[in-house]
Amino acid sequence: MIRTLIATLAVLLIGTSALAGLTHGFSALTAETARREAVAARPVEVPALVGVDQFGSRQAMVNAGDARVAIVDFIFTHCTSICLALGDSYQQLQAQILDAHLEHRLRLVTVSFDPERDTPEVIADYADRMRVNPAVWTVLTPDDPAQLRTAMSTFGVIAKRADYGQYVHNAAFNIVDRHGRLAAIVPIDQPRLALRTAREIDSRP
Amino acid sequence: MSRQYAQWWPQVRWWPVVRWFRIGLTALAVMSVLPPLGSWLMQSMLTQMLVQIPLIFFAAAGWGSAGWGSAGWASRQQAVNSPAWQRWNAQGAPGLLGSTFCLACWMTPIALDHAAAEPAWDAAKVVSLVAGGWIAGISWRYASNTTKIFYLGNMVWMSITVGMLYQESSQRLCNAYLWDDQAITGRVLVVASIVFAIGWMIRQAAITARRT
Repeated sequence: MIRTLIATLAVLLIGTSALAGLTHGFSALTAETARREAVAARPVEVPALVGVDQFGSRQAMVNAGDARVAIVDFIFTHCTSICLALGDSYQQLQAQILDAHLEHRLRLVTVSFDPERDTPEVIADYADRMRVNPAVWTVLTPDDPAQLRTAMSTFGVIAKRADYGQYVHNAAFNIVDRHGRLAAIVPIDQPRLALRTAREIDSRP
Repeated sequence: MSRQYAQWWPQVRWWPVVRWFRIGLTALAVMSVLPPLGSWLMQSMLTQMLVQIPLIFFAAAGWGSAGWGSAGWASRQQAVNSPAWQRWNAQGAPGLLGSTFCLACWMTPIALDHAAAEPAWDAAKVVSLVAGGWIAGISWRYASNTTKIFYLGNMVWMSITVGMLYQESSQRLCNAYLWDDQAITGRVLVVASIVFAIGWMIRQAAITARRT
């Protein structure tokens, strides 16, 4: 009996540790949460991603010359669901940044993960429709699929093709600090938190 | 009722049937982890969680509980009665607890997501499910009906809870899988758990009836 008790205790210990390890100490039940926590604990270097912006000029998603903290999201302009909500949030963020005169500290970057359909013309059209203010907001369509793939994997963006020309994808406010590192991932339903986090990251040395 | 069972049941030679069932199950389990079928099953949450994982687990459990059918009967009896093993695994309690942990891990969205994205995680899944199933199979033979009901009750309760969470969640829990897929997986998980529990109870009732 005593041996069975010892064995049970050992199994309990190993099993609990395995579950704890898997869920990062019972705090992350999904891979998305785990990523969010990992990035917050240790910022990740963002790879180079070059594309064409809403004015048709080539630009990098993150460039060393720009000392602003960036809130980056990944969308496709034909999206009929999640990206629309995200677009609304970006419009509000743009207004809030301008109201608070933060356009020299923060910027918004929207990257298309569907460059085949999101040509520079489509992007320009999208920027018009969204009343994008270029002082704050850059819309970018990448021209190198390999670079885009690398960036998406760094940002943890997964997009799967679905019916009717749609993608099923995850989305978040990805906050890139002044050193070009992904420093925080904020869920899409919390734009206020995204702005607050971006300002907090801006205040870091 | 019980007398009727006593009349016809023992005349059926069950062992060959059980053995071929076990071999078939094992063949399916092996196929379910290898490329053509395996990669297809991994494309959907429903088939990973409710086809591939149970196949591996139950195939391994079959080998753990009885080995090579009737030929293994004697050695199995010996193993069950081996006092050295029984002292460490009385009632099969630690073994069944371990297999519960194993299955619990592979019910979490984070584990399913990792397995879908990274081959190393997928390999770990197969190894741990074979081990967990095999240990469950061995321990099953040590367990009394009370222990079995406790274990199954826990498993069914756990999978129904997970199934309800999957159905209820408005968020996509796995980056590798779609939201609809997750909701259907949740529904099938609940139904399958209930069917499994009822099926096991009917089988157990039949066995009890045969004995009396």
